[in-house]
Amino acid sequence: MRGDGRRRYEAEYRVPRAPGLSVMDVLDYIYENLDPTLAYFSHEACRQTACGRCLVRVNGTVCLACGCPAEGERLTLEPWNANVVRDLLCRFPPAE
Amino acid sequence: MIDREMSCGVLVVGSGGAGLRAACAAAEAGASVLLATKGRVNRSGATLLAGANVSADVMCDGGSLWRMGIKSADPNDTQERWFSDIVHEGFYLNRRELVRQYVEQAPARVSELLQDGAVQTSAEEGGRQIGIPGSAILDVLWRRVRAAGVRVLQDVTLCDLLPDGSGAAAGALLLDIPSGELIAVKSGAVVLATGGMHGCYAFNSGTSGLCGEGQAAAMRLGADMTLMEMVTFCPDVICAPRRFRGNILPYILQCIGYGSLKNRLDEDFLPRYYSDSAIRLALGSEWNKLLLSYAMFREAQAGRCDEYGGVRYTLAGLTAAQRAELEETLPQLSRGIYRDIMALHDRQGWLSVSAAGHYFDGGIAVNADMSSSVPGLFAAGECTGGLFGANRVAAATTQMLVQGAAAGGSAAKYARDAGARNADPAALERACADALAPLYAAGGGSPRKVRAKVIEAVSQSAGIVRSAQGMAEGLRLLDETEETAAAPQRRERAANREWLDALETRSLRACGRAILLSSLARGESRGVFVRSDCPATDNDRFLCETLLHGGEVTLRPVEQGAPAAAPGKADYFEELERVFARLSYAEGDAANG
Repeated sequence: MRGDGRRRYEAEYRVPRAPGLSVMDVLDYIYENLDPTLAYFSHEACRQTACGRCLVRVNGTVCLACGCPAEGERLTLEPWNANVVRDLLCRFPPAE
Repeated sequence: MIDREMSCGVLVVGSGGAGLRAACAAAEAGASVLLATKGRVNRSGATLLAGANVSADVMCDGGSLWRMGIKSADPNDTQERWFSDIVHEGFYLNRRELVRQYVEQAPARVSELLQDGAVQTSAEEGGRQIGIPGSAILDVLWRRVRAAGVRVLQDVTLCDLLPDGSGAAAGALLLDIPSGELIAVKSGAVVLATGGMHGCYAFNSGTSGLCGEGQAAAMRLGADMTLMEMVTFCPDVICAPRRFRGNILPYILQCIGYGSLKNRLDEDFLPRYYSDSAIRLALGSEWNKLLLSYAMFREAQAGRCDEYGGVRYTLAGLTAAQRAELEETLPQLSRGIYRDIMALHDRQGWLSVSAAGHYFDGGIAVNADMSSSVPGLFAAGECTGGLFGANRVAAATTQMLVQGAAAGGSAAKYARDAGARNADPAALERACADALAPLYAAGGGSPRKVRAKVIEAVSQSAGIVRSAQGMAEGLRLLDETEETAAAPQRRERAANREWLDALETRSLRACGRAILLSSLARGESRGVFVRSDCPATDNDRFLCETLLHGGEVTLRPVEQGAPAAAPGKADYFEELERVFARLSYAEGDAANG
């Protein structure tokens, strides 16, 4: 699911399967090889399920992209909350 | 070109342990503080991943720890002994005033951390340390920062530091990554706490945002850098599968006494490089970073690594009782990502591990009040250089706490005395133009590809073992990337990763150049710094720091005294052996090359 908060559309990508890939790895693959305009949380990501920032809805369930194995024939990736900045990147509430 | 303006007494950039500790120190000293961080305020930077966020070492002399009630500590240990060990371990390149401050301030910083509620892990620690998960340290500091009334900006990156008319630091230009807005911050003083330059290395153990923005901006403002050639690699870092790549869990397990290493041919490879006593040190202390990384590099060169470039870390030698003891010591191993890593290990019998860029011993040159060579600019933690000389064995967590507290206090005082000043308008305009330049570039390839070329050049030429020829080629390749045309496909500012890639590439290239220029100036091997073309440690010529200023490196003698380096020139491994023999906690006899 792509686009900003107002205008949304679906995009489909084909990513080669490999053992031990996470959803984050799939997003990185798309960014690096298929579409460099894709937005998702990546600018200060721990990639070890410690920072809690790379939330994304995978096949309907919210999880951390870095900790979620990329399994199955098809992944449906959507923003995890309604406050979408762009594509899969959502605004977090301010620090408290 | 500016979308927003803000002002404060002290601007702190970075919210790992050093930034958080600096922010509360400055606020508690009465300054109005703005804390700007690239990620989530209490979950970013290398602090979060310290000790794999399972158990990070926090160090203090044993006598002080024992008096805090830590029963595993060595009551006979003293600050003098610890000082002496740190200088030996640093191969006599440490800025001794920083080491003095580190050992003297450590008890106060560690005891406040425990009093504020940081809970220790039950990992068996040595006589000078306790274990606390990285996130627990951040939580304690963040509570204190909140209580001190610090304002916070998250998801922003540092584009440039801004000078006033006299060249003193008077603020910074920040980019809000989600919205793409440029924010000009006017401040009385700036504290950089931006962490290491992990992004320079293709294989590293840091979070994705550690790209040396602070170091690069400090260099552009004219700050002196020191010992930029000193890079510590962490040996047992998972290289495959990609999902776990960069995780240092095997290293942490090895530090607390579990696991062994074999090469692709199932050989114990350490005896090929080291004596029994050096191997004991390699497996039983934080000297493992230097010793194991070198051995792994040599194994890779000899073609004895697996298809991922790694050797095999295995817990297969553990008895059932030992394994149960390990799981009881670190209950996190049965949860989340660590459960998955342990399951992978148990399924295949090993984990593929290799040496990753891990800690940057060099950085912004600072004095004990954490002032840099630029007035108004202070720095703390891993973005500074000099405390650990040529090799860090003592804890970086204690460094960030001690230096953060000192930097915050000094910056608050400076800001009070100097008052808020305006940035030089021409400098602000230039900083904005530089930040926006990638969006208006003519075109060409993807900034991502240029970034990858920069990383490849630094990784290849500034790795564990370097040579003049390789480094000259590295510098040439870095120059070449600067001339490569590239621009983001999408030109809007909001959430534009290609734009951020282009900005980060600028920092990575500047840091890579600094590492290479400093490395070329050091015509010897010492500590974590190994040159195949200069294999001796030369105490006659190189008891010096490499001081980098405006792209030029000069060698400046480092204050010596007790403990003193042995004079003369020795084979690198002989010098290692001499240093081992002088440590208070280990006896060394022979290391063989």
